[in-house]
Amino acid sequence: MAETDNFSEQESLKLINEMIGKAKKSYVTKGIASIVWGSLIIFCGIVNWVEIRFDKQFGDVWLLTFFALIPQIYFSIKEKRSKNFISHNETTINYIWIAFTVSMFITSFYFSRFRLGDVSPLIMMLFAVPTFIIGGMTKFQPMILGGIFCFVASITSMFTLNEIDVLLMAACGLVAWLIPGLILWNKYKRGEVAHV
Amino acid sequence: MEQAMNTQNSLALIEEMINKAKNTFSESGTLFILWGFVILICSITQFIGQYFFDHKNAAAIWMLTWVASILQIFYLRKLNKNKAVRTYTDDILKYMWITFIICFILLVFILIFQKSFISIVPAILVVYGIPTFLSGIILKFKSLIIGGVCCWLLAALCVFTGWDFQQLYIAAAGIIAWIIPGFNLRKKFMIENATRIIQ
Repeated sequence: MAETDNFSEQESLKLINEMIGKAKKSYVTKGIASIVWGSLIIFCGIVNWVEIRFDKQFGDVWLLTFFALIPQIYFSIKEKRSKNFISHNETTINYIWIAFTVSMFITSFYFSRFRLGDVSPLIMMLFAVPTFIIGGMTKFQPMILGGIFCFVASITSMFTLNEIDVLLMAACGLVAWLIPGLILWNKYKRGEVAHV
Repeated sequence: MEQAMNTQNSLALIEEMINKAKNTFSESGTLFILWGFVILICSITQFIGQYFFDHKNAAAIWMLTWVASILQIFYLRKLNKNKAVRTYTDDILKYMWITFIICFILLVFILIFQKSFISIVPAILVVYGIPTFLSGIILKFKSLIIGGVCCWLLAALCVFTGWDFQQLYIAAAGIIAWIIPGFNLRKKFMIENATRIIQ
């Protein structure tokens, strides 16, 4: 598009809308990140519950969560190549996830290094951070509720056995990420169909 | 009303809107400065009380944070009364700070309940890092981003530091993450205000 093209106000708004529409179709905003992350947390929580309940050892299953970063990095790079812009919203969401990952890593590392007992209330508290902030900034109610659920689960886990704590973590994965992620994905699909 | 606009004009309009938004979020940094100093005073006092005088109730100085919280409520009420427009950035920051406050209260409650006193300082530093880092990203303000990263580095350093001296890391975080960025924000705010008055 030549720089001297004349734009009416209507056309300008259409261009801005198009840009917003493109931004919505990202890995994060399509809900795939939430679905991947939520599924993984549910899987780890249930496997961990089986370990405790039936006295089995499958290794540290929670290390799998690091694999969730692989599709996130892959899709981020892919999108960066295919798009010529990234919205401020997307950048903020990406950094919220970075802040969450760093916080989780330091907390888990410190607690395992000093064998400080039950880390699950803190982990569930940290689960609430990206969910509540992203839900609030995108005005997406299911994620706000998911964040509140994580806070409540965090408090509850202070009074429950380890066996229940891991199930609560799985529930957080379901309520805070998988369900909102599926809602987002459905919205995206419907939007795409309407667009076609 | 349909005025013809070329690409340059459209971009200029968008830029103008962004700048308007920037002016509203370029806050005076008052809260960062307030909390930075409160944390600095509390942590240094606790360290001196415990390390040099073996005072058992040195941690009581943290009650000062209640005074700061009351001041903050009054300040925010006054600020909201004078604010005509709430920007998108304001909304993001609002949710971020609500999350931080809930996390902070919950964190202290959980760790005291678990009697896991040794992990209070690193956990607080991890949580401090989150809003500081994200405020820096949202406001595009480098000293806050650096402050947030420093909080996390200090939290990691706690692994190699005795509990007494960990208090000093909180003091350092107060300076690096809140006092310095707070004064930088204030400086920016003053400059923008002066520019607006001249315009």
